[in-house]
Amino acid sequence: MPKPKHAEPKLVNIEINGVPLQVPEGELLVEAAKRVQADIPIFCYHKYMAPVGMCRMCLVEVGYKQPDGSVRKMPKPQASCTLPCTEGLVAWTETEQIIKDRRAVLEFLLINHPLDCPICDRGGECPLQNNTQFYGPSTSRYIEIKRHLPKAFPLSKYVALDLERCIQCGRCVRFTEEVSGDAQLAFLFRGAQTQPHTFQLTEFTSRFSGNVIEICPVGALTSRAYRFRARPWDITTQKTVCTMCSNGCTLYADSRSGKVVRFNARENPEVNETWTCDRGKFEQTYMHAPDRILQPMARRGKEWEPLSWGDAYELILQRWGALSQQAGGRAVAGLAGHRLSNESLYMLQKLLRGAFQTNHIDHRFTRYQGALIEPPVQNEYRDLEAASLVFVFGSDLADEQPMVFLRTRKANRRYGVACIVAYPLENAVEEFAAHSLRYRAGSEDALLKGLLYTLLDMLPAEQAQANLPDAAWLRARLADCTPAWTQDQTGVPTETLLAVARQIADAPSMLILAGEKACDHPRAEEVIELLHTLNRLTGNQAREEGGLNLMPTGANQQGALELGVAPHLLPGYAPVGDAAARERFEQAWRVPIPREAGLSTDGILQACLQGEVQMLYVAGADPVREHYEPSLAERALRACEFVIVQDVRMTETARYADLLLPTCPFTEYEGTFTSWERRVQRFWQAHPPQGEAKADWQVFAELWLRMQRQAPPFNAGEVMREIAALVPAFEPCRYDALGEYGARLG
Amino acid sequence: MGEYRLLLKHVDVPNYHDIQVYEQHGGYQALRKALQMERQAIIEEVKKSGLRGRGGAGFPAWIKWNGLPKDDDKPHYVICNSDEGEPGTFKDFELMFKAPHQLVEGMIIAGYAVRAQRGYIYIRGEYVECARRLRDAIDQAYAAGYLGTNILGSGFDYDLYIHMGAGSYECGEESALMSSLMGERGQPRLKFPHAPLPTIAGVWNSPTLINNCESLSCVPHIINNGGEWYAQLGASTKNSRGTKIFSVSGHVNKPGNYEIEFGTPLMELIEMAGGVRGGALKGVIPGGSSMPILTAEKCADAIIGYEELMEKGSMVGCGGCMVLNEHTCIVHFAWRTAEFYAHESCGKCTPCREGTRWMVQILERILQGKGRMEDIDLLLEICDQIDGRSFCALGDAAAWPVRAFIKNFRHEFEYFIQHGRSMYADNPESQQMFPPKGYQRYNPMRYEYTVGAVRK
Repeated sequence: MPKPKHAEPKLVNIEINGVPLQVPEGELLVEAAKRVQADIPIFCYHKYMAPVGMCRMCLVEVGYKQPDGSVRKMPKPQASCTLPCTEGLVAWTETEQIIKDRRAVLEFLLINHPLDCPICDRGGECPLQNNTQFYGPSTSRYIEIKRHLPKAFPLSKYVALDLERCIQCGRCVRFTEEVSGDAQLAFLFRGAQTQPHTFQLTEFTSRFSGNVIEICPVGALTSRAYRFRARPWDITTQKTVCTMCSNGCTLYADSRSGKVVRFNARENPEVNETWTCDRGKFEQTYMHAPDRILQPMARRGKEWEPLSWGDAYELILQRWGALSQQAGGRAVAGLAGHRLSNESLYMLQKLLRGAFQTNHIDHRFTRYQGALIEPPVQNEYRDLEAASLVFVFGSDLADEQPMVFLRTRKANRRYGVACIVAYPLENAVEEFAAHSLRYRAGSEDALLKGLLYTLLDMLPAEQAQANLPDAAWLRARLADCTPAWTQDQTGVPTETLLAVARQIADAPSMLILAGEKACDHPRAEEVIELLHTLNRLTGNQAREEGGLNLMPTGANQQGALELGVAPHLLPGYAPVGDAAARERFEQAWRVPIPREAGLSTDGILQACLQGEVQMLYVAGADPVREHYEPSLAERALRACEFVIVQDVRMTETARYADLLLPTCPFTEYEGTFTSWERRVQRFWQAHPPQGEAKADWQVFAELWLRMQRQAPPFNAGEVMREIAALVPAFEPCRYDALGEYGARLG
Repeated sequence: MGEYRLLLKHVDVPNYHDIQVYEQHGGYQALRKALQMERQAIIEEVKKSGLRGRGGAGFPAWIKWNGLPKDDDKPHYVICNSDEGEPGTFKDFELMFKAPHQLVEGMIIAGYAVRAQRGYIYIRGEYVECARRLRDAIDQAYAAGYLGTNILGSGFDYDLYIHMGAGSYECGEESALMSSLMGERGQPRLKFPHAPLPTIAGVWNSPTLINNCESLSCVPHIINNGGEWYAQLGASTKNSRGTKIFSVSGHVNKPGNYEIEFGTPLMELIEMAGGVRGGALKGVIPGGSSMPILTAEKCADAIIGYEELMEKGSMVGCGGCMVLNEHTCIVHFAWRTAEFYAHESCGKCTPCREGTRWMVQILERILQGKGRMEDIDLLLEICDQIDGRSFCALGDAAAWPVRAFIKNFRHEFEYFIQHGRSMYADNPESQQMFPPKGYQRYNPMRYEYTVGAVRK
């Protein structure tokens, strides 16, 4: 059964250490104990995995209230991590017996533990260390020979395994079975020889292998990237948000002397729970790349000439002064990257629209650059568990949206949410999907047409008519798209198509996740229109737990749309053509805004080629690598007269720049990102900026000051306040109101 | 009172494993009778019989039978636990090898009573001959129409399967058995109140009835003769009814399976097995190696019955009665027992995994003459730390015997530690279970258990 989105749990009365309290029925005792601050030490228990009760660290004494009011105590202590709360449960967590039992378990765990804490990465943040400090015996009575096993065994590129330190809690094994689903770790042997390992000594090649390092309660699994780089007491930890994709996983950035040494997951029950993917955890190193741009530089022939920030601004103003005399704003355009914060994106479009008088601004590098007027995503993470069917269309989900993949898998495993995947190649969703449609690459539109044709047949006529008023027209348009035609076009067998259509027709709600193959399709406009039709025809457009989501790929791609980094949209999806909306912004900014919608990315690049756009401001983007047609971007950049590239490092695009401006990566300034589900989350400065780098929004603000003679915002919080005043959806995102887990727009 | 053969009544008849011979001796009459009865009436008969689980815990069988939901549409399963791994026990072997049809009949009746569609007989991996016999018996039963669809025209469909274990002791524990049956690692699973009972969510999350081989073999007799008749057997005891097969082994003249009524004195059982061999009686482990030992004085007036033996400080268990004569060195015996449990510990929970190994290491050191006096109390404390704290009963089973050995024969341990050698070292009568010279179970240099060595 899918998990209802707004369900009221039934409460039961229990008692812990004499404190009566009410908890939801079935809540585990170890969780309930946290409500009354009763400390229960744990090793094998993990909040986001099924409990097993292996380590016996969490034993408590338990009884049940009898109808006559007396308490019947169970003869043996019980593991609190597996005991669900029921009416009349009574628990004692600090009795003499329990204190003794905890000491016993720790003594057992330590008899084979090498106690090499001084050279262990975990030393200082080790649950075994902590529990031993608080609950363990001071000395061991063990005088026999300890278990000796290989040390620092390289399981994969990222993970090293030290079997001597292992306490066999099984967290890592259970993670790969339950959460990531690749089941690459298993227990070998039994009894005292039990050890977690890969099968047949194969490499541990999970997409989520980094998580086992974090959940390991000892130093058995360590990160090869972090090993021996730092100790927990000489790193500073700061809260941040991952920038490797649009999933918005919350992280901790641990830095040591101005350098991030590792990323750890930060719990967010609404987003990544406590997980990360390897890309975010290990591959997010661009902020310390050797080719960082450290100061403003201008091109002099083949050489780069260092400039001061003041000179750099002066250069831009000079250029603009010349341009504004002749062509005006039409000759200026801006391209924004996906890793800019919300504040930077807002300031960028304000600068271009207000100071440079142009609407030529975009952030999209895929083939779909249509004039969207509403958010392309309808759902949030929680809906994955509430929907009855998740349809993954044209996305290698585990690769494109790792956390959405994990949550989808969880929804399927725990709540029985059905899954259908349509992707040309083998992919990880197939493991649990009810149906897999492996169509011929490029035939997305044909597949959707065939599916719509079949659905029109299957759905009751009145229902189709009610959901889609132009159903008759659609029927006529798709008259040729029979299942046989679809099989011919896509290679998907007729019976599979019919089974999928049947499942979609019967599903009470459906959530569509459309990935890169849909949004970057050569006929993307049509594919997306067909997806919208499918969404409307099945009635999911109006449903809370169903809907269509065109998944963004970049960290803050969604934020760029929300904040008007699009040629036709002002912040908050207000059309540029709408005089009232424009007036609102004009009043706030105290400048006029051009009336006509600008050019999209492709238009801008073409205009560069034709010499219409003479000044291109590329902020944090790398069109040469990100644009679907790199040669176009390359030629355009070459043709453009004055290219300003503002980026963290020397990208491909930066080679064509006339002026290079250094900016901060996300670890060096503070701000907010908007994830795919329109959740705005804050990140903080983890270490000071390198070189002369400045935050993007600050660069734009300083230019705004120079061009408009208006006081710029002093910090990111002020920018957000300005956004919130103009765009009502951002009201809960003011820094003083934005909570730990962020806030969703709308 | 003498031997009372009920389950083993015909086992010596030639070819009793054949369906014709079995039918000649009244076989499958109980099934015919049961199929005419209401399902609830069968459960009532089992309730009246007072049958208690023969696997060791002595849980009333009818509560399990009655616990399966009666009006759901999930598949129901019956599992026969024939994973007889307890040292000193070999009753299931004889039951399956010599009277396989008795078990098959019992399983069909159980399946009918609880509305099951499938039954599994989980056989210990080493019992290959039993599996063959049972397979033939099941084939014959299918051919005779006792299994398959529409059994004897009653409209009841039932299939029976054999599943061979891989030889792990732990898989005799019911939840580990179910894991193993489902193809998972043979480790115990959460039990009530942490998880639903197997009768609600057992194997493949469906209602499951799981009984011992001997319990299920009793069923045809209960149906044939009525529960009340069965309950008369052993009526002299507090709450133990029927007969129990004891596998008598050790220092007796005629080791073997002896079926007795509950209420028989323990000494009579030993007399049945030909009396103690090679000297006076030192002690008896009445219920398999995991049960505490009874000293000769306690044996003298011990009566066999679940509560009766409990009062003496031991248990009926699964009936693996091991007899020790006066020349047995208890320290060696304790080491051998502890070694078994350390070897068979599945490694899931900390106390059992680490505690059993530690105990073996200490006992090994004592055997090598390097014991310390404080080791005796240390062993007792380790037993306390394991007992009741482990995930399943294997931990208890490892702790109970060692604790009982020390409590009852502490002087032997003290002698061994003081003198560095066994009390019986010079006793020619003493058969000692010496570990091979230089043997060390957990030799750190023994690398066959480490993965790195394989790669080297």
